[in-house]
Amino acid sequence: MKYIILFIFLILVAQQSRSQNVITGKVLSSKDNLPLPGASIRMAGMKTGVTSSSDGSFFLDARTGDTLYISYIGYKTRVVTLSENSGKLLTVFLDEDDNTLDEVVVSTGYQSIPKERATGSFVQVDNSLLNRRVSTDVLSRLEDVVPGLVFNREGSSQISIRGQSTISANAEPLIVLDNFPFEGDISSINPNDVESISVLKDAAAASIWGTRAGNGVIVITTKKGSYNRPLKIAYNMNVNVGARPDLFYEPRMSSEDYINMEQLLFSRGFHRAAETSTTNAPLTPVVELLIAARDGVIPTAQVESQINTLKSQDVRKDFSNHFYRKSVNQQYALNLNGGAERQHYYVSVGYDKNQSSLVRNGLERFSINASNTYRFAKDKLQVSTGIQYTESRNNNNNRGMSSIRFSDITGNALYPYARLADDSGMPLTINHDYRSAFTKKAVSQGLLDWEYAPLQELNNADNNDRLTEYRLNGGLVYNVIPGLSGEVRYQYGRGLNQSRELLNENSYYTRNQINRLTTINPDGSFTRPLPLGSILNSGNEVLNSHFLRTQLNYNHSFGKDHVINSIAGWEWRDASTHSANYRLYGYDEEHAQSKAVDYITQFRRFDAPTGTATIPYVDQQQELSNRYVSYFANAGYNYKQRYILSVSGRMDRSNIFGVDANQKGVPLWSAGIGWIMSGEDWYKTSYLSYLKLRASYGYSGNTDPSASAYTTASYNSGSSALTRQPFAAILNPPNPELRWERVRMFNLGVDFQTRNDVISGTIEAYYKNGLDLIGTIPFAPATGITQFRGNNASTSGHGVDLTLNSLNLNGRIKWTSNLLFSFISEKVTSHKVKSTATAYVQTWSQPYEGNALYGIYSYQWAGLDPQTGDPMGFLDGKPSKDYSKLISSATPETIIYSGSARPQYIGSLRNNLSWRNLSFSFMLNYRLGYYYRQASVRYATVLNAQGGHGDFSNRWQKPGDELLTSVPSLPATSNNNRDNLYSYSTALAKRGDHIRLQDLTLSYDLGNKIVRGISGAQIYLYANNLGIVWKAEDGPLDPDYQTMRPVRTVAAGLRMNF
Amino acid sequence: MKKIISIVLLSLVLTSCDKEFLEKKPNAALLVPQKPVELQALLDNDTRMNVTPPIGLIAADDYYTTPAGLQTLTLSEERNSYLWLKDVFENESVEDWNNPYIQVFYANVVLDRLNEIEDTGSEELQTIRGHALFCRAFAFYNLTQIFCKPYESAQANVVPGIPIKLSSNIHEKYTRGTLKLTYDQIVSDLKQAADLLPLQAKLKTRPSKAAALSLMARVFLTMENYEQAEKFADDALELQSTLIDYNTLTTTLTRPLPAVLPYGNEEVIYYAYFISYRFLFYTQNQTIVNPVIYSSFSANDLRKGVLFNDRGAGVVNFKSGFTGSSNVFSGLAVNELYLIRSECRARKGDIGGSLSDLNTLLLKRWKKGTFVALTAATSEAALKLVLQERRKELFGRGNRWEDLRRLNKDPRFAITLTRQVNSDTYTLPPNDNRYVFPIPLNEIRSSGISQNER
Repeated sequence: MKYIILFIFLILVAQQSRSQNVITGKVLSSKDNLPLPGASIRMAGMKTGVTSSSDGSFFLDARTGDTLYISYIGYKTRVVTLSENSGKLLTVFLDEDDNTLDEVVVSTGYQSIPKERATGSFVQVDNSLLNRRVSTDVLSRLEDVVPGLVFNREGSSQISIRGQSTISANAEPLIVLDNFPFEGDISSINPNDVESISVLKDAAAASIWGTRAGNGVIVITTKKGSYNRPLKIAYNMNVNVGARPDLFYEPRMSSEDYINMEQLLFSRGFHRAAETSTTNAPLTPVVELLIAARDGVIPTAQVESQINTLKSQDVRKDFSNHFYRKSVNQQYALNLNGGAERQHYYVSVGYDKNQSSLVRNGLERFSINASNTYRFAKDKLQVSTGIQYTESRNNNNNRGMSSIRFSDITGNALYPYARLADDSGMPLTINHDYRSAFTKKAVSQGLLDWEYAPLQELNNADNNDRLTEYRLNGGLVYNVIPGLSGEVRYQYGRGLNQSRELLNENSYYTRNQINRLTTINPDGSFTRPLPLGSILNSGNEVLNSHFLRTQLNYNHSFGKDHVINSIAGWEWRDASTHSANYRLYGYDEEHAQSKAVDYITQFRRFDAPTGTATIPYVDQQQELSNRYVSYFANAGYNYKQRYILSVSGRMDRSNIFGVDANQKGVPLWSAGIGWIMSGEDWYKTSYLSYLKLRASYGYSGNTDPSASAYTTASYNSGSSALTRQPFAAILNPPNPELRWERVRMFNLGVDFQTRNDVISGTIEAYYKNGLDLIGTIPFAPATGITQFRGNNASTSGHGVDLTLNSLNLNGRIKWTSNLLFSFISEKVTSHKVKSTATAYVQTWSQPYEGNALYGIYSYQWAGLDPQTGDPMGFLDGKPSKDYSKLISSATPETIIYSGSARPQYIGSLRNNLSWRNLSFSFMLNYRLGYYYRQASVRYATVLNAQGGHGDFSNRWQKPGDELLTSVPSLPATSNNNRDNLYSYSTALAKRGDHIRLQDLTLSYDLGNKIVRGISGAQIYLYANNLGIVWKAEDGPLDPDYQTMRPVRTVAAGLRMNF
Repeated sequence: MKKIISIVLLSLVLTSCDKEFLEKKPNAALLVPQKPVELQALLDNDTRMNVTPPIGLIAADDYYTTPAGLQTLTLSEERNSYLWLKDVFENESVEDWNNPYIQVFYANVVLDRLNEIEDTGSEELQTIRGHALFCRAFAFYNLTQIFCKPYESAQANVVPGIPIKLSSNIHEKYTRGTLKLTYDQIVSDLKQAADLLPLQAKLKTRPSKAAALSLMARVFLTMENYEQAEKFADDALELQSTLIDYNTLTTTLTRPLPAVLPYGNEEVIYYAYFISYRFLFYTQNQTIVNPVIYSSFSANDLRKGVLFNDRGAGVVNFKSGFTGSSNVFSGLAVNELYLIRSECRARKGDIGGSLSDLNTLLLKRWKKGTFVALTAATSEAALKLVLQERRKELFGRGNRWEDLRRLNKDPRFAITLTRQVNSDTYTLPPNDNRYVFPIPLNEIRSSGISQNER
């Protein structure tokens, strides 16, 4: 690190200065330092100019003070004013013009190719588009800007590219950082270091990544310096403020309803079991009052008035005030880059400080990124080195509202009328885990304080994790002969995640653990198997990864018409994870000492004298290893600059799937063709200045590390609590036919651009088939397994991706629009065994032949019984209340399939306006053609005195209500089948279609006039999650978010360049 | 150029190490069970292999629960089996069916692998084979008591049994076969196991030779083959016959009996316990001992304090018995052998032999010096005494459900069970179809085997 910084300074010092008046110049591309022949060099005030020769050089008569315009197609025109310092040899570097469709260079992680020469489906997200959003992470910036790339709200993957062609295997796209697959925590990447992102969508683009490419590939290219460019410094800072989360968003049973229910259940003797329990199970304040009234301890009238007071309290108000707040994320990033003739560099530092919306939670991230490239041996050898270092600290002191429960033993939810703090903000205790009479008595006998005040626990919490991650890169490229080069690249990555939770002696957890195993001896002394002091939980996870790649590149032009670009190589990868978690008891923070405990003996429980318990032993460790050896080749051939052919192949072998070598390898390949029609001599369609057609076909793959061809068992690292012997559990039954998953894809694409770039875009249509997909199917339990994982399924998808960019106004006001549209239809084409109707309605991820992979299935709803408000389904075509039969007789054929649970039509519309220095952009996005299951009340929880959904208040209560509501009446006793019929009925299958105003951004370019030395500055505002514009269903809920919706955020920032 | 060539060469050299490189296990804790010690580890998975289905116990008359207790039961099958409803499982997947078959699967994985290993006749391999066979038989037997009709030799060739899975191949098709085939398999597995198992098992969670013989005695008793039952009880008692003298126990303790593991309980032959459903969970104080049984214990009968916790107001809870922990014992023990032999002897008219067994047992259960040896004039009187003591001694172990199914066939002992929940009365007459539980729907749907009438 030190050396890198030192080197930068040397470079800065080495800037030379000379002066002359007669000009010899050279025009080079700043990107790759290659000469640009045919560039135009014109002097201001003169109509004619000169053009550069084949090596990019030119001669011109000019004097100090003259201004030169240097331009080249596809590059930004550069204006150079000759000064005393301009020198005899003027080297002009032209930057590529990102707005030009033709010159986009996409990266596959193995090579960079001009998009024009590609046959596959690549989408490039450039730097300005990435910077449109404000976020701590990189990936979220891809939302709504890449057609076919969807952020899922449900399902097994966060991101899917062109649907999900897998069922249970890894469903996330492969993420490649520069050259290598990214291992580690993606949130550790500083988005300010990212230059561009290429998304590889079809087989021709992605199959070079073989068995890891089935879900598409996202290639992140970081910023680099370039040769012969003076130092550039860029600074970016912003503050992003998010609203306080709305805890009242999810409808919940009111305190009044809840208390009424408690009173009803109490009158039925429901609480009798808890009241007399040997475990001293807790009772809510209302039940305690009812008991007091029953036993005549408190007068009934007084109890009633106290209960009435409780009815008006809502604990969510307290949570909102004391557990939640506005989030504030700050981001600062600085980078320096530049280069000399034989070296270029990039160095950046970034600092993020996020204050989470959860009080006492937050993130701090510090990152350093440096890369350096040198040329030696007459530029034949290029050596590059790089380091990326990130350190972040995450505070997890607050686990949110749902973590505060009535009983951690049973997991029952907190009563809604609890109070967490008094009016002055002092923490209040709640009834928790045990009856207060029991804990009070215990404390009077000398046990530790046994009260639980959630707010005090929050203030007392000390839980954080620290991530240290770095990657070292080294690369060597040697140009053997013109066109042929060989390269070796190596990356070593290491990530260390250390978590630490100190449950100090004042924390409820520690006090409770100590108390529950305490014995009071006859002489009044205490025996405490679990020693006094704190409890310390620590965890370490170390990720080590090595990549080694050797590759030969052959790029050559034969004559005017033939261009070949090809690579072939071999790659070796080893990623291993070691993790260990351990706990210390009786911990003394001051001296970092702990005490030994007896994990074996069963101790009598103080809280439940009939039971015994051991001291919790939570220590564990894990060693995972993922190894691959891969061979790859890719070749592109370009004829007459308009006919393109590409082929690609890869063979992966890995250590997963058991040990049989035959099972381990799978060859995957692809081929593509392209035709730039507008390049033909006969092409005369003048309004369509650019037109390219392309097609590709091929295979990529996917892996499921949890599947194995053999009977596998997991060995329990500890030992049986009973026998103290090691034991093993079977994970997989034998499956000798297990194969890797494959994804077959056929892609057709058209790229076009009208004259003057008024409209440009891409239309693609594709077929995508998932073959040999590993799926879990229900299995007859008498075989010994209830579920079977194997190559049980295949899927068939097709879709359309469309991008349209238009230049609507190009005068003083510039207005451009970008429309993205994707259509995805993905169906399960074969699935060996049908699941049960119960499984289909209850879990939407069950594959069903002929339907979408994720579907919403329901029982046909027959309304409410007008007499009783009971829900009804259809049995033999007639409304019925025989719930047991309704559920048991339902088959996959009789249930109703509403449609896909994932949107089929997705896209966005972005409008960008600029006037003078002001730019404004806003984005609408839409998700159409899908369904979701709306949550509603289930009486099993209500009748278990655990509250429930807010629909309780809309339930059927008297005849006639059935016309207004579909929420069933309260039954006398709970009945699973009755609950299920309603919960999974068509009455609650809703259309999810909606349009959302996602964000808007406003920026003002301060230009270079504000402060000397600053070559550009920009201030910007960004607002996100602005709200729903339209949705198909009525009601207040956002179809994509049923429990918590994303909060609105507003950010302000400043960018500066020096 | 030379460098490049050398790099290419180097990479080729490296690729030749592939095989070794790729042998590394993806997860260090993963194993393909091959070695004897690994097979033993599978069988030592006690939370899988040493648990039994409790649904029969819930449906039997050892316990009753209050309406409040009924409300708090978490699984619908607990409520429904308690009330003998027609629909028990409400279409849910059921551990009472799944877990015994998981035991069968584990046993088959072990047996299939043992068939591949060259049999050196080593004691270790023999013990593992015997262990697996025992577990398979125990699982099959427990299933028959819930999902098959009671055994009647005349009908056994017609009545459906349970699927008999004898290989770990999960794709192998199966049907229910007949009840006779099922019992034949159980007996043959146990016979083999008895030959293979050691006289002394290292742990009570592992079967010994006595365990196989004891289970055989129980199986033949259930089949009403009293001659064989007596023989195997006899054989087993030859190997293990120690009874705990309850005078050595402190009856006021929460768990008066010593924990079988790790401290040991000499009377236990094979350690097993019920899957901990809420109904049997030690905190469920609303699961109350049938007062008829509780009141049948005399004041000097130490079992009253050793087995039961009288909380007053009619609330009497079971103390979970021979496990000595909060788990409820459902395994094999010496006391059951004495009772089996005593019953068999009474049935064949050996009154003296029958009462001698009974008195041997009871002597250890009564306060020292208070027990008066039982006498009977007729073999029928002796049988009645045995059955009464059987019901008391084996309380809460699951035998009651099996006995109800067996004894209801005999008009002398047939009884109708009733439950009272608030104003509703539920009854279960002798030999009712509801003595057989329905096969869970997910099994029927996946394999298409036939359903029970209920």
